[in-house]
Amino acid sequence: MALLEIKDLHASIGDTEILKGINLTINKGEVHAIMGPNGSGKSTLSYVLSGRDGYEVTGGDILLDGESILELEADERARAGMFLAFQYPVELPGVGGMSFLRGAVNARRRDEGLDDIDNLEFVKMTRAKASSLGIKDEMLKRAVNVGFSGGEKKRYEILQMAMLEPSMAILDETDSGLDVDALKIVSEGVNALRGDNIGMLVITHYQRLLDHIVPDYVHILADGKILKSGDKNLALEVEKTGYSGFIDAA
Amino acid sequence: MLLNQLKSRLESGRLLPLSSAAAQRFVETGFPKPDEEAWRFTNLNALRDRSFAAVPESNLTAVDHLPEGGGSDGAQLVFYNGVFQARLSSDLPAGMAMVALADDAELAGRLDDDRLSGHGIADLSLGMMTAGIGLRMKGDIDQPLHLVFHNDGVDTSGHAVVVVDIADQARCTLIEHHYGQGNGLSAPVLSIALGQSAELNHARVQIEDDNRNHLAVMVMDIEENGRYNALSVQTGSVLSRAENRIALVGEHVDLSMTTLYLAKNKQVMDVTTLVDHQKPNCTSRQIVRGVLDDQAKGIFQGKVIVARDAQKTDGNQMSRALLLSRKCEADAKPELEIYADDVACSHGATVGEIDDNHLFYLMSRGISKPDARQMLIEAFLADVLDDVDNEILKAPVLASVSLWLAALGARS
Repeated sequence: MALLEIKDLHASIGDTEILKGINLTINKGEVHAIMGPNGSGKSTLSYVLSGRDGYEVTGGDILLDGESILELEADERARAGMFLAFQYPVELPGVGGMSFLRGAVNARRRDEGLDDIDNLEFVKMTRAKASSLGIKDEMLKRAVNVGFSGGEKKRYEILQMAMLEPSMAILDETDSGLDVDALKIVSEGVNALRGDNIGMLVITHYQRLLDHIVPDYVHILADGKILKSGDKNLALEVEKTGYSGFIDAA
Repeated sequence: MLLNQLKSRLESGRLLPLSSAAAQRFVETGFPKPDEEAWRFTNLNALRDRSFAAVPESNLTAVDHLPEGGGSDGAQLVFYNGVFQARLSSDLPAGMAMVALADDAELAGRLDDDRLSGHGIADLSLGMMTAGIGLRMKGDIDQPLHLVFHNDGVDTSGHAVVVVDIADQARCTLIEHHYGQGNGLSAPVLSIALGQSAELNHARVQIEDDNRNHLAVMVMDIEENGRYNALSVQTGSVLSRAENRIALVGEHVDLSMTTLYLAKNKQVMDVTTLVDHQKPNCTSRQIVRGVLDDQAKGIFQGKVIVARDAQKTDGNQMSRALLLSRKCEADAKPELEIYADDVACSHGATVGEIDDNHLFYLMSRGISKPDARQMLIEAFLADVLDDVDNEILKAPVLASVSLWLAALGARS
């Protein structure tokens, strides 16, 4: 059974249709990349998959582990294994980083009928995972994302992903705002989480991210539809010809 | 009834001159009316038609101890419906002394204050004052003093009057607790003089039952190098106003006030402050945060005056209200009145709902919508409480905030 199946997905914001029939299947262990120009519907796709309010699905279906998640709220989808690494992680003044992470971990555990995580174990686990991403203890103690640099915010997203162990991770333009060094750290963090039990959907405008997180499949998205699919070499083609070549051909 | 009581007190001829002048004014004008600018948003019409009566001293019963989370170490002075209760109060630590205002003309004279005379509520309370209390603080006093105002009863009114003198170089901590049951009116008046290089740490917690009315007035003068650090919260009463009128009368004063109000149902909560920079080189920081649910109404009136002399003033004031329902209301009137030309002042007031982006971020991590909302409401308050270092001030305020938040969480 496929991990994630997107079937003829149509979605609108207000009266404007953004996604115009998307089909995509992701199996466990696979990394798919979606590339597309601005306005192609990349971010909309990530929000629709993760269940953000304000987007109306007007047709098609999304199946996670074989079950439709269209009726599930964002939190229910997350607890079912979906994870979105945000393009622009929001700052949450007053929300302590550790209590946020603990709340997220425990929400998932409670859903699975487990007890809340032991506090000591939680702190130990968080520190270990944080340090492998170069996140200092001091940063963990701050309010969520408050005062973090662009690179720190992205690393913090990957830390959350590591803590929550999703089965399906969507990385929305994780490379935006990162310099080469930060991109390397974040990519290494993501690569460390790759494995047989997780599927990933990497959304990006630029090919450079895919040098670091090498995908199994690449899809070109334009005007709300997937125009072409291929392997990692498709990304190199985009780099050469630009998106216009694909759009004109379609 | 209050009017009748005031009239008979006037006729008795036993009032201090100041008290009888105040009583006279209230008899003539009554409760402030909505056409007065200072009372534009907080309508006292419901009080005008009520028949409150101050409780005669002989009717007083035992007072229970501080509500949970209220007390910490320190001495306490207890007032029941505005009247000082000697046998329920503790001895004062070294450096603190208490007097009856009737025996201390100097402290009593502090009530002859332009900010009080002609103020409808202050006039009422000074006119109804039975035995005002004076406090003198000297030296470095570690132990906090709890002023416990327990107000109780049906249609009763309490008019505590306390005058505090903090000597030059003194340092002390005052924690006010206002609580009680019934449907009465509490109208405490507090006058504080903070001496040169003196420091006052001041917490205020108003958690009276939801049917009570609470109209507090505080006036304060701060002299050169004085430091005033205040943290307060109000969650109680159907109608509640905490009004502070503070004059910085010396240079290099440092004032920091964090004020929280939390309202639900049909509560009306009013935070009114005047910070009057009269001298140069002073700093004032005011932070106000309100959370409003149901059909509650929040009012923030904050005025900062910078006199022509008060160059190099650094005055900031920021009020934010968080609306949890579409039926609540927040009124804000921030005002800056600057007559000096070399100052750094800012003010602002925002009113908003929980940010959908914040909510989605938390939910995308598996946190349910009610839990995420609760986290964000707590965060809205924690954001400013985290900056308060003084744990003695913070403890009673946090306890009240937590109780309120827990009750809010239990409803969703």
